[in-house]
Amino acid sequence: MKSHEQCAALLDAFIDGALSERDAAEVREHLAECPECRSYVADALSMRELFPGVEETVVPDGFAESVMSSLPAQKIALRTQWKKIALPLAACVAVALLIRGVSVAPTGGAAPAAASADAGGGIAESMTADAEDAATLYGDLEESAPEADENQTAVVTSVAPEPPAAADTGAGGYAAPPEGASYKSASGAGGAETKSARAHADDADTMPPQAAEESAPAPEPSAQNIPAADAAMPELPAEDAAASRKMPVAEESEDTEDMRYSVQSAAQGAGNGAARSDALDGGADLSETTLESGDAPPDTGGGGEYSTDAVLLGAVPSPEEDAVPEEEAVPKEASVESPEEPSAEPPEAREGETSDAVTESFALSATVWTLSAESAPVMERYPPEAVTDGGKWYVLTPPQFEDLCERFPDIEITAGPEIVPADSLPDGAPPLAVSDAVYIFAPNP
Amino acid sequence: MRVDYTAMPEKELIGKAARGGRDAFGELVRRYEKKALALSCRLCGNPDDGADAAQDAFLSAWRNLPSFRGDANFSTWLYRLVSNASTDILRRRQRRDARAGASLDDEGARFDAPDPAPAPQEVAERRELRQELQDALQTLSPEHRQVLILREIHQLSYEEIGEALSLDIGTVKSRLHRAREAMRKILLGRGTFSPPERLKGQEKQERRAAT
Repeated sequence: MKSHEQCAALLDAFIDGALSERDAAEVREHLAECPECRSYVADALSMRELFPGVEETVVPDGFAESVMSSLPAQKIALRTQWKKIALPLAACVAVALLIRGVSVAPTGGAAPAAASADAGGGIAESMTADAEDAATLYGDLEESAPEADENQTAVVTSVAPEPPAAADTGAGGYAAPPEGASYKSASGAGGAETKSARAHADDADTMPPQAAEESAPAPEPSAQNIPAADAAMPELPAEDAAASRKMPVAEESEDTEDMRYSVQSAAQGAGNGAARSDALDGGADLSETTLESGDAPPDTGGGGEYSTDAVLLGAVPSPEEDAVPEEEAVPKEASVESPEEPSAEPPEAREGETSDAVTESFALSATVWTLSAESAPVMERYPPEAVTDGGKWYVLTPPQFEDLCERFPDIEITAGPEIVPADSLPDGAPPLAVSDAVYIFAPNP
Repeated sequence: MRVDYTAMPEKELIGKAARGGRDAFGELVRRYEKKALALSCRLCGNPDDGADAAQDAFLSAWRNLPSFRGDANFSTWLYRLVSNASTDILRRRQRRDARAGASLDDEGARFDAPDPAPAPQEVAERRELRQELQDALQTLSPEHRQVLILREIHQLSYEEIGEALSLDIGTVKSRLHRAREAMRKILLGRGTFSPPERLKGQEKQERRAAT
């Protein structure tokens, strides 16, 4: 026979029917003798009686419909998100190309055209292209790349940053950023003068793609031979760096038929920068970019806190890329891939992938790094001006990114997983992790 | 061909909804809206907040369905989301009330439990008792309230409650006991329940001794 305390400890289980038959029998015996325990059980059962059942719950009219209408318009997978960002950005790229193409055309494409702050208004400016223009232009682009499909995706281009030569920036590049440089310091808006070689659009229009490709100038061997990924950080001769450098962005193969467009958002510091971005058009043409590093180190100009240049290089997706299964999709080296091996990537680039998100595809050949607070030191060590002066990487700063998000509310990449292949980070950079802050680094064409 | 989701097994619905099937998810909402509201309304103490919490929970379910691995029952998983959403709303309300100087005794915080209403007098009495119960319930801590509601209204087992609230069974049992004790104390104090017979007997003896 259990004591009062022992039985009292079993009362809730007795009420809930969670006792063995033997224990329940003992509790019943105890209840017959103990008014206190009996009262507890009786009150608990009375409470149970008073509790309304689930079935008695009144569901407000239209509750389910209300829930359904409050769901996001579309359940967006990351892949889809990138499609969403890619299309409008491609349109904006086209607008920027048009603007710059018009302004640069009279110069013949060789001499750098001075870019005003307005002209180089950054990605924000690019985004101000009205929808009609963007749609029209994007339509034009689609015509130029008939195989491109809205549903197709291109693979994230993951281009390892090029270590800027010491003579190039004086900023120490990745290994030794300028002392005192911080993320918030303004970039050298006028420091990097960027220009893109004009694509041979006219030729492309009149020639079959293959012929156009054949007629296109070959990329410089040194760049062409860059293996990819981390190897895509060639040490350029100092004289090359001091003068204008020609960096082949990509050799367009007949297979991929990528089209490349660039948005130049340099020269935010009013009057400080000279920037020019030429349209690269013509599908199979060689896209070549001439990148001129400014002689002067970046100054803080009038660019404000985040006057970092932002360059996005867009590529209309190819069907082949879309066909790549998610597991197999890999970042493409837009700058170094060879026509013979359009999907080749260095093995080490795969091994270091920290997430399958790196395989996410989108139509911009920009690399997106998701940085965490922990990775903030990256920004400290490699401030935008150091990076941009290296002529290889550009940063979409938080304000710019926010602006992008405002204009394209469907972008939800802040919740995206980390997409940084570990081995594509500069040497010595701390590992990046999933985060709440997103920055976009894009290779300068 | 139109798919009949109403006859579809739950597991299949969950799979489709996890892949973005809105219709499948809509069917899940319809199947569980009552249970979700039953929990959220009691946890929040009023139908408006309860509906908001239930809606938040379903939204959360929609977002997180791809990560739902089916280790737990969907209902248990949903209870957890409802419970979390209700707790969030309660916290917001507490902050709001704290700013406004309101109390839990406000009329706005009252919740008229829906009643099937069989006979007029009985209905009135029962409604009154239920209101007292509901009022007492709102004086419990959210932790005790959650456990009690999941047990008494949703009739979850200790294990299921533990799963829904991420508690071990020992904690579930102790919280349940404390919740019942607290409820009983409140209702005894309000005269809703009678004191135990033993205490009644003691009172009689005390009265006799006094005379």
